[in-house]
Amino acid sequence: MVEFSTILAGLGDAFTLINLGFVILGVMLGQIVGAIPGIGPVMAMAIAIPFTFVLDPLVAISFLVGINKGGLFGGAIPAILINTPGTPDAAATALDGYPLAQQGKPLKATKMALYASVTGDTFSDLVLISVAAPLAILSLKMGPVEICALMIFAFSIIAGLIGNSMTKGLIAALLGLLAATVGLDPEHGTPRLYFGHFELFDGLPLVAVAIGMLAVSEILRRIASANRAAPRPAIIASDDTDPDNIKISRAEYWSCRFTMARGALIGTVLGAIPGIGSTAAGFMSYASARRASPKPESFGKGNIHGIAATESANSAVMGANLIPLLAIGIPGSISAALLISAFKIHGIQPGPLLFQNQGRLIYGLFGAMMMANLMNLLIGHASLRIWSRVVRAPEAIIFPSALLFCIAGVYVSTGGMFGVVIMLISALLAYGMQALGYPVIVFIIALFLGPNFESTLSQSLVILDADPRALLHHPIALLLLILALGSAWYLGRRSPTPHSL
Amino acid sequence: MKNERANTRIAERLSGLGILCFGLLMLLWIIPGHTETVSYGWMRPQTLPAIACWGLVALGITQTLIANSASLPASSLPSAREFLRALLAAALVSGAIWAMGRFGYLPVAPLLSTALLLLLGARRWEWFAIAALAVPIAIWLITVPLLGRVLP
Repeated sequence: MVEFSTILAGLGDAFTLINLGFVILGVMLGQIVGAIPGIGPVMAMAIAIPFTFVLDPLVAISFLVGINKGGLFGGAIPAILINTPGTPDAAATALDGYPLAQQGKPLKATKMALYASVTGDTFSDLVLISVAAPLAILSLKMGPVEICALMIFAFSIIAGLIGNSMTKGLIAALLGLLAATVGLDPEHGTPRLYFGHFELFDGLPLVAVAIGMLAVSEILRRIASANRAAPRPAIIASDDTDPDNIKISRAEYWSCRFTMARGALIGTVLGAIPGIGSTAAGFMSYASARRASPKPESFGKGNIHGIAATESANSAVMGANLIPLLAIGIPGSISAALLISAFKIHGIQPGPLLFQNQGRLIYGLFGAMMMANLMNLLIGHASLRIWSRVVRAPEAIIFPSALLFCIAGVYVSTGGMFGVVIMLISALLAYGMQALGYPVIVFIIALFLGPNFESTLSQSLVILDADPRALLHHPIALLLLILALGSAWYLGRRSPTPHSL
Repeated sequence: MKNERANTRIAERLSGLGILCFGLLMLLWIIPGHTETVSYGWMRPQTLPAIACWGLVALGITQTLIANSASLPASSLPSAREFLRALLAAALVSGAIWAMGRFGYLPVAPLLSTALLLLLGARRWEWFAIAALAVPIAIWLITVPLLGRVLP
């Protein structure tokens, strides 16, 4: 489907000096924000998106990918140094990272996290590059009935897997769908639910909603729960020169190869399924490495295999998360949903047609992802001592500053204060939803998929003449609907999980 | 522990009831009043909003009836103090957004930042200098002269 010359041109675009510069900037920013507990790459991406408006699409998306990749490793730094994961993904890293740091080996622990993170991430990117295009070709062969059924299936999976209960997941999805109906009706072109605000004719601004729900609500929550404005105590890397305490030898890295391979595989498989986050992948990989270890009792006491298992798995989720986004247009995670906002700011519609219409951009993105992995390794290696001081940054400076960035960013991207007001309303809604256990990310994904869902539903009703028996002529759609019912039933019965967003 | 569980179950039932009421409010008043009536086609302007709201009504009833304390960890519910602080922060941000629309970003941003710093318990002058002075100026410099965009 994509010509070889397009692939080469895309890769050529990725390796320009300006792109390289923004990838480096993104990775550095990602590692810094990942290292600050409470900020993380998601908030940083949300804040950065409006400012990428002025950049070339590939440069903008490479920058955001750099932030995400840098943040995936950065989150491990406070998990290891202060036993407080910078991002939820790194929660399992603290299990062995912190004990190892307490033994006087913080640099050794962070280096293992870095190597495992880059290994897992690179593996998952290679899978993405090989799998996304064939899947996109397959999804282009589907008609509106199949696409509509696929979206219903995706909703059932996402609503069931994210959050604590199927009921709440479905409520969040329906609220998102309802919010997506604000603006002009795609079938008849009549305005609806706009309450006299002509700014809403184009629907709710996705960037304002995403920043409000993901960044501002978190800032409000952190401001509300902050106890004191003191710097956090951290284990800082000493000037120890014993190589065993500060380095990961080749033999040590090689001894972790099966652990990392298993972690990368778990992360990639789970990441390709919309709705399963990297936190789950990290814990699953950790448990699997512990089961496979000849010395399971050493886990939790500073075993480098524990760090390798967690970091390779949670980082492998990132690349795989883009498989459903690029192949079928369904975002599977918060960062993928944020990338959609960035695509939309630049007038690009994510989905299978991307390979046909924007092949050069997509292969440029793949090139940038590989470059970001390399930069993650080099920058991380060179800056570990510096980032270990960043974890002590006081919340009193971080959250007011992040809020000012959000306000300015949304004003710039939406072109007025109306977008800023929508951002604040979205933040309050997300605060309430989180407090009551409704998954915010399901709302955002449904808000993004809503217009497409309505169009395909309308086309399907015309094709089927609103007769359910006509579905027998669409066996794939029928199968997807049966799978949707089956997954709703199965996931609805499972016990609640401790993580919700 | 028992009290905590009972409280979360009450919160679950109340939120289910809230969803049910919201769905009914949308179906009975808001959707009919804020969508155009079209008399042809399978999908009319009110079709998808109505489907979503019927779904909310059904799920609201389900949640009210089978409220499960396990689906709402007690830790996720904010304490009264946290809730009040969040309300105060939201009120400050709302006021600042209104003031930015009238007086501009640069005069209001330092005031908002200062108020939030005080709310967070900051006392060191250098933190005020960074968050309330350097950061707003840096944002203005990045947005206006560097990116060539406007701020209120």
